[in-house]
Order: sequence, then structure tokens, then C-alpha cells
Amino acid sequence: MNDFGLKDALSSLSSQSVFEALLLVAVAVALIMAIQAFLPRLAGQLGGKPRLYLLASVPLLRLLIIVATVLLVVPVLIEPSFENMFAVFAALALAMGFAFKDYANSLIAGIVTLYEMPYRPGDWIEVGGHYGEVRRIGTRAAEIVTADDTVVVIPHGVLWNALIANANKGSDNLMTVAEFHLRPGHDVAAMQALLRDVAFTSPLVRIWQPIKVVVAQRPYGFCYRVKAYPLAPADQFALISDLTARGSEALGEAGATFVEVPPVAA
Amino acid sequence: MSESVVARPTDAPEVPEPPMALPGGLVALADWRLPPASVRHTVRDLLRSTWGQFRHRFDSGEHGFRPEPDIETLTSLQLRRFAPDPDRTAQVQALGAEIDRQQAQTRDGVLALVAPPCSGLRETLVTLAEERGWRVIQPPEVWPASQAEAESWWQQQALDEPWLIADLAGLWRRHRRGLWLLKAFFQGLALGRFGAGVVHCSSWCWGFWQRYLPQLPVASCTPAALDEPLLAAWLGSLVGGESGLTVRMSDSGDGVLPLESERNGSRQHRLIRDLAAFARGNPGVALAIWRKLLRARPEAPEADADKPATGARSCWAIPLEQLSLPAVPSSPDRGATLILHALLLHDGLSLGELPAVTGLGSDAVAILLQTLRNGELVAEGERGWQVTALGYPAVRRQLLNDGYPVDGF
Repeated sequence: MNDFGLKDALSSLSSQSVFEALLLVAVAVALIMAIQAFLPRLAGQLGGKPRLYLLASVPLLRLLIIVATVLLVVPVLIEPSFENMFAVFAALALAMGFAFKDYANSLIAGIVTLYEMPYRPGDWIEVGGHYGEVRRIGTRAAEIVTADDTVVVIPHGVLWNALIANANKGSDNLMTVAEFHLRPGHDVAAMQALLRDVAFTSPLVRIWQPIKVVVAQRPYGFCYRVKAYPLAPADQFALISDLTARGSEALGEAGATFVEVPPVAA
Repeated sequence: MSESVVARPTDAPEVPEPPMALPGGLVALADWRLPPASVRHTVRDLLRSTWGQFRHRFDSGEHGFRPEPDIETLTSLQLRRFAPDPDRTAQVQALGAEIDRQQAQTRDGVLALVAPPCSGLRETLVTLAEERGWRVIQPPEVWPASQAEAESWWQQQALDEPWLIADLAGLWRRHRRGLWLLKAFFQGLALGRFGAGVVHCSSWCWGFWQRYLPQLPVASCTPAALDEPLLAAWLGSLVGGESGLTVRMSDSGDGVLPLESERNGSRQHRLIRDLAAFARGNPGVALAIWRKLLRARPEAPEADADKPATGARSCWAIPLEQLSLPAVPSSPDRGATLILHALLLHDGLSLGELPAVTGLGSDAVAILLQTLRNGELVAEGERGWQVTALGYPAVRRQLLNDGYPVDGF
């Protein structure tokens, strides 16, 4: 059984069955391409949760189409007996194991990704120092778009041994932090109250989520961190900018003095 | 009118039945319940709003509101006959009695009346204050420049005699300096510095301050939501009694008003139930939509319909799904929704105040306001720009979808 019975399994192959199988594959590819092109565009027209749900449905729909296509194509090509199935999949596994080891690694990780969902379209993740929104999860790799509109392709294989930070994990709750570095010599409680007001009055903040102002002493003075949730993850940079601009103005009016040169972290 | 029509859903047995001028009476905020809708309407409404988001996005050249042809709608005279404005005198008496009852249960005599936009409660309260000689607190012409000035302003208001804040939402602005007045007010309340009084507050404004100061030191209540029987009775009471108005569906002939319990024979349509749910029990919104639903009776000539009422009145209503209401175009750009949210938080703002509370430029605000006005979502009135009653359901739904904090009503 050196050929795993592949010759016997493929003995019933005819030009008509190959044509039918190719037709099925072509239809599946067309369907997947249409979904990958249409749904993200549709999601782009929406805001809030509908956008997240629509984006997250893309890889799931693609997986369903692939599984359905395999289930339809295999019986067209070969008689679906146990021996034949074993022969086909064993041959495929052997070929992929030798020729496309890394590719197969990413493919399998991609399937695990769909199951474990360490990230999904619409999530804001950081991998290897790159922070961005997951726009597409392909069969082999995921694409994130950074705040500077740079597309970073991340092979699913990194899932096995890399640290992945997910800021919102499938939801639209994503905390942002705006920092203020002040010299000592001010009323800390008053500054905390003032920054809380700044956060509450930002039009981009979710007031039903916790809004916190934490302060820590540093060698140069105090570091204030305003923690709040934006209306949507995509608003995170706008919220940080808004908090920074209005917070700086308010602190300046209150007589606080900023640290002029950011200290290098010890 | 049956007993069940006017019965309060959450009242205690000893509480008297409120009159139809204030259907349902005042209830605690925790006792407010959203009127249920029929399953059919809920599904249709969901599909309609989902489709509407895409349709209005792609049809960028058209606004959402499509006026019905004049020939189908009622004339202004007919509207005054079939769906007139509520009788303010009766409302004032009913509200006064309810406030007396609620105030008697408070520790310090201060009562907050929280109501959703367009409910019409503010105007009634102002009339009540004039009748009873309450001091009506108006927003300052010049906003205080510090927290100390805000506290001083409240001390000058002589709140030791009965008072009314007709519009709490007008006493703050959503920027850092705009919080001072209300912070000082709630501080004064907590310290017991003020005498008995009534505060009227928009539900959106109340929602913000409940989160800013989780333990607001004031007793609060709200008008009960109008569910199907309450809304039917209220709409009927506008024309002198529910039995005085007969409304049937224009497509099926099914009865709409009076409700089934008072009808004999023909099938009952769930229009009032769905209208109550769509308007979230808000009488102002329900009345605005009701006026758009009504149609002149086809067999009655225009001249007859315009004659003064002499007895029972009858007309037709189109299905709620056929009504073209204003819709908010869904867009990743937040400009329009920031303005709508700010208008609801403050229950109306001027063009000049909007940039400070939205973070948008004044030119962008002007352009967006024009777009929203064309879509019948906002209108300019005596208190600045406000969300319209017809546009309010769509605005609230869109703000909820876009992640904004919304009111609890």
C-alpha cells in the first residue's frame, strides 16, 4: 500500500467528474470572493455593533463554503468509501507536510483561529509591536490596518508562539488612556476631579462605562492617566486627542505645570 | 371607558386613578415600562430600519422624509377635529394633583419630573407654576466663570419659597465650565439649602447626570408610558371621549378606535398597540405620528369633513409600515449624530452653542444642521434647534446603534 490506495481511489475519475468538480470549486471561489469583497464594504457603511457582526461573519462564511465545497467535490471525484477517503487525505497530508510545511502550519492555525477566536475582524490587536484593526482573516494570514493606514500581514502561524494583545475581543468596548505628566506642587485631588470632568464632557466617551483618573508618583512629579471608553473602537484615537487637548487646556488653566521633556523610562 | 383603560399598571390600591389629562399618572423611574409591540410589527420594524440604514446611505441625494400626498392627509381643520392638541387646563389640574401627592412622599419637598423629549410636560409645568405663583428659575444670561460664582448664583435665586426649574437641561452645557451650575445645584440640594420645589428634566439630561453623580440627592418620577389602552383612551379623550372617535384601517377596514372591548362585531387592528410601542409610550411622539396616520374618510366630501363636529367622528388610518418617517442616514462619520446627541442632552441648543459641546467646527455644524433640517430630523424653535417629534424614534435608535449613551425611556 505504498501509494495509500490512491491509484484505486482515483480509478473512477472521468473527464466529466473532473469538470463538475472544477465547476463546483469555481462557484465556491466566486462566492468567497464576492463575500470578501461585498461584506466588508457593507460593514464600512455601518457603525457600532452591526459593523462588527458583519465583519466577523466573513471568515465564518468562508469556512462554511470551503467545508461545503469539499463535501460536494469529494463524492464527485471518488467513491466516498473509507479506503478511498483515507487514501486521498493521506496523500494530501504527505504532500503538504513535505512541500508546504509553513503554509500548512498557517492553514491549520487559521482553522484554530476561527475556533478559538484570539482575534476576529473588527478587533484591535497588537502583534509583534504592530497595533491595528483586524480587517481580514484569510486562510493563511490575517491583515491588520494600523492607525497610520498601513496594512500588516500576520501569518496565522504566529498564533503558536507569539503574544497577541486584543484590546476589545469581539466587543465594542475598548479602553483608551490619555496621559498627563505634571511637575509636583499642585492639588492632586483637584487635578483628578478636573480630569474626570474633562472625560465626562468629551462627546466621544461612553459615560455608562467606568471613567477613572489614576495618578502615580514619578521621579519628575506625577503621571495622571485618564481611562475611558470611546463610543466605538474606531474613535479611540479621536478620543485620546480630545482628552489630551481639553485636558491640557484645563490643567494649564488650573495652574498645573507640565513636564517639558518627557523623561526616559527607567 | 372601561376600568382597565385608566387603571395604573403599577399603582398601589389606595392611589386614586389619574384623569385622562395625565394618563397613567406619575410613576417612579424604576416602575416605568416600555409598552409591548406585536411580534409582526417588531419584525417588520427591525427589517425596515436595517434596510433603511443602507438605503439612505446609498441614496445620498435624497433625505429620508417623503411627505404624503396632500390629497390623502387631513387638512389642518380636520386635524384639529380628529387629533387636536391636549387640553392644557385639564393637564395642569391633573399634574398639580399628582405633584402634590408625590411631593408629600419626599423628605425635603423637592421632586424631579423626568420626561422624554417632546412629551409636552415642560409647558404644562410652566402653566402650573404661573397658576400657583411658583418662582420659575431661568438659565443665567451670563454663565458663571467659576464654581464659586455658580454657588453664588444659586444663593441669589431665593429658593426658600416654592420654585420650579422648568428645564434643568438648559442649566448646563457639556463642557467643563458648563457643569458648574448643576454641580452647585445638586450640592445645594444635598445640603438641604433649598425649599420645596419641582425640577423638570429631559430624560437624556437626567441620564447623563445620573452617571456623573450616581447618587443624585432628589426624589424622581416620570409620566407613565402610554400602553395600548392608555393611548387609546388618551387619543379619544382629545376629542371628548374615546367613544366619540371611530377610526378604521384604510386597507382592511379593521377597527382601530375604540378598542375591542368597547366594539361590537368588526375585527380589531393592533395599530394603537404598535403605535404605543413605536413611540415608546411618549404622548408627544405618538400624537405626531397619529396625525400622520389619519386620513380623511374617502366617502365623505372634503366640505363635510371640514364642518364643525356635531357628534361622533370617524376617519381612516393607514398602516404604520406605510408611513414614511424621517430616518437618520447611517454613516461612519459622527458629525450628524454628535449634533443630534447634543441636542437631546440639552433639550435644544442654539447654533452658536453646538461647536463647544460637539467639538465640531461652526461651519461643519451649520452644514450638518441644514442637512438634518432637510431630513425633518431637527427644527428650530424658541429654544434653539431641537429634534422633531416625528424624527425622535429614528434618532434614538440610530444613537443607540452607534454606541451613544441613550435615555432609559
